[in-house]
Amino acid sequence: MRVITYLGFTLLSILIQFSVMDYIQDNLKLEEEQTDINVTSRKKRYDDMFKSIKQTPHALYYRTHLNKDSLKVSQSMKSYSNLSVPETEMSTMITNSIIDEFYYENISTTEDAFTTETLYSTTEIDNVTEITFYNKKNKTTLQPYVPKENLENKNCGCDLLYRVCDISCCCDNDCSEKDKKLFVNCNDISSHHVEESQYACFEAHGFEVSQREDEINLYDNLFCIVKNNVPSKINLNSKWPDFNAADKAYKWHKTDTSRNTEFERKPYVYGDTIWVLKEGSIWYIDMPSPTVNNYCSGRRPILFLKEENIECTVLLKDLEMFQIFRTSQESHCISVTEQSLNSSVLNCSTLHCTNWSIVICDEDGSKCNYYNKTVHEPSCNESYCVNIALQLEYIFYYYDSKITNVTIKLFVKNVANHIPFMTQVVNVRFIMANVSIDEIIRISGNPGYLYGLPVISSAAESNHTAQFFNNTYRQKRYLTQLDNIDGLCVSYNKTVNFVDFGINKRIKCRYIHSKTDWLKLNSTDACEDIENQIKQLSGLTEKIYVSALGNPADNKEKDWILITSNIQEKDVTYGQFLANNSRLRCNNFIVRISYVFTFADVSEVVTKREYKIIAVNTEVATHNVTISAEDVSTVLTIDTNFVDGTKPKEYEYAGGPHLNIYLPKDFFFPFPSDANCTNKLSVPLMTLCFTIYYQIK
Amino acid sequence: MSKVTNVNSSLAYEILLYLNSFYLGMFFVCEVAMGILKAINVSYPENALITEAGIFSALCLVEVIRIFLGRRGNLASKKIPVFFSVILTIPSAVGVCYFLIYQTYILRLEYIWCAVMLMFHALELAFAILFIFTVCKNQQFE
Repeated sequence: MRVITYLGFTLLSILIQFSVMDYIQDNLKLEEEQTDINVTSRKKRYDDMFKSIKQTPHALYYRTHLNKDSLKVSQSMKSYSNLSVPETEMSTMITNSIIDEFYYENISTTEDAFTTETLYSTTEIDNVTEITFYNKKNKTTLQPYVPKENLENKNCGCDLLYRVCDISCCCDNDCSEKDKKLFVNCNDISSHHVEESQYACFEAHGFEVSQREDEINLYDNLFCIVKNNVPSKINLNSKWPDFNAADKAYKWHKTDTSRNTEFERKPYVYGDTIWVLKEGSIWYIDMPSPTVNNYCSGRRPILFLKEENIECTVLLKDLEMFQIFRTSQESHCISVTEQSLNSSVLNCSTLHCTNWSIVICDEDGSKCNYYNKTVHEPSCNESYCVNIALQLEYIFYYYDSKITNVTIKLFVKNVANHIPFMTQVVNVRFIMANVSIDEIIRISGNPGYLYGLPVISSAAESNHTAQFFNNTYRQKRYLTQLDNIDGLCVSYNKTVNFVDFGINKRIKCRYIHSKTDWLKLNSTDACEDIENQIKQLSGLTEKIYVSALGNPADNKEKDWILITSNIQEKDVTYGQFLANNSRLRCNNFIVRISYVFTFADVSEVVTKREYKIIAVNTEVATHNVTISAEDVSTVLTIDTNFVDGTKPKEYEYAGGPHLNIYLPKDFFFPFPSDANCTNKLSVPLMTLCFTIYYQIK
Repeated sequence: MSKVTNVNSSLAYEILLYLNSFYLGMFFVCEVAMGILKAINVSYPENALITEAGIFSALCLVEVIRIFLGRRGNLASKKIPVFFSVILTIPSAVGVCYFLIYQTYILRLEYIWCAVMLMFHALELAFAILFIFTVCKNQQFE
């Protein structure tokens, strides 16, 4: 073959390939034209970060002598004079590619709606819109009362907030039509979490998941993944392509930062930049983000209804918390109202302004207080800094077409002074309700459990469902277990170490016995005393029930499963003192506690998984341990295992077939001793051999 | 003086190999581009991408040798190169089947590409066997 011809044809094939790429690029251009807003030219940074907290000798001054340049507030900004706000066009909306949700409306559940199992008292229904809704239902079904969890919501896998509209969940009945109009993407989380065969298609900004097979046109979807052979262990990741990783790549992705950075007088819609009013000018609010590596070197706007979870490395002086103090003092978060649509002046009298609420929480978020400068101001000494927030959370409350509250939770801790870099976590969350985030009840699936969401539990004797939805018992809604904090075991009811459905894990921690009078006891009593403390610490002494379904709304009493234990079956613990009472040997002592959750998929539709917990057992394992009198401690292991009850314990592979074939004894002897046989067999055998020989030759 | 020769070259086999050589070029370029696209956008299990790249390189190498031997044998009316070309069809088809069935993410477009490639293999195999029979049949003994 001529080399030139080959080369020419290869070039032709490349050309064909590029024409395909052009098609993709055209799609990209379409979107780019629509978002023709230049962001970078509008970016500016401030260097007067510490102006407001300058009065007291500040820790960071101690360290840095206030390097002003390094403490930037990168708020961004197009500024408008109050009197000359230009009339902006309500122009083309940015068309994001829509992820088609595929939840199935199971018609058969209609019958369920007509059953009147009222689990809640009518006083629990407190939402006006819901009352209207129920009235409609009552008219059609002639039922006096239908609870909130009606037929549509039973199949709405993304409805995970009780009586609160879930963002981007279009089947959530708690969302008004007005709310649903805000959503660009409708996600049914349950489908994404469990769908085995994904139909991910290459779109302008990567592979988009979730087109249904029957909706795929052959010619339009050549770039769709029709099958993946990813091992089941990492299926969850593959279903959610890492768009952040794609954003770091060279092309074929869309940067969201390039849009909506120009203030428009229109109500917020999904993906809009959130605006603040500062000294008469309008700015957008942004947050740190990693760009080329894990360092927080860039910033990007916080977008409306787009929840974020950013983790990046930063120097102590560049922590986001310092910017937040400044921002919260000088600016107000704004929402466009009807009044501001017609007004030429934009200020808090025409716009809806919201103040920032800064809340200081301890590391695990269990205790929170409003920020008080005198108490909570960060400071450093020679060895460590106090009140440093490495984790912070923006919570935007949106209700009645405006942002009603912005709460920033700073999870503070003490940080060693010598650590050069630290990892900061910034979360952004949106709540479409008029209630505090702490009041909102989160369920763990609808109706079955979803992977990774906490297992719902109840410590009540009865009426578990009512207690779950009762806000006074909110601390004990989810099953917690012993936690390892700094290597030590922390009691299950003092931690937020939730047992997440489907996630197997092992925790090892050291239990330190605090009682000192155990030496007065005899050896066996001392061992039992320590063991009883361990039982209490891990909750083995309590009666705890677990909800069979992720949405306990329809749970009957039998759907609350008591956690059983084999602790009664274990051998009796006994002890003996060794080496002049300096050591205690405990035999049959609890060293391992394992929770075994048996679950099953009870869905009728193959594509939708509804995991139901069938049984929960606690199994304790014992060992002989020796405890020193000086250090009365022992290592505990806590295992959590989720077992699919519908699958066999182990697969038994079929063995190879057993062929019972025996060759005749004289097979390799063409001329047996028997003369009669010789005459009969020799002729055909000889003929066969010669034939083969000549054929080969 | 002149040596007795028989022209046993199969035209159909030659056409198939000729087309296949160009198709291989396109297949190679498209698969590489698709591999880059997938590597950027979807997460691969550990080592899967390297494994697939290795298999793909081996496949391309085998294909080039196969087509080369097939064409050479066909044009020179020699059965030995064609025989080896037939042998090489097996690993080549296995490699294509891997990309058709077992690779980590299979795009719809790859289904089409691999199916066409397998079609080439099947047809070439048939014509190659026919060619070998023809050569054996018409062998001249001097």
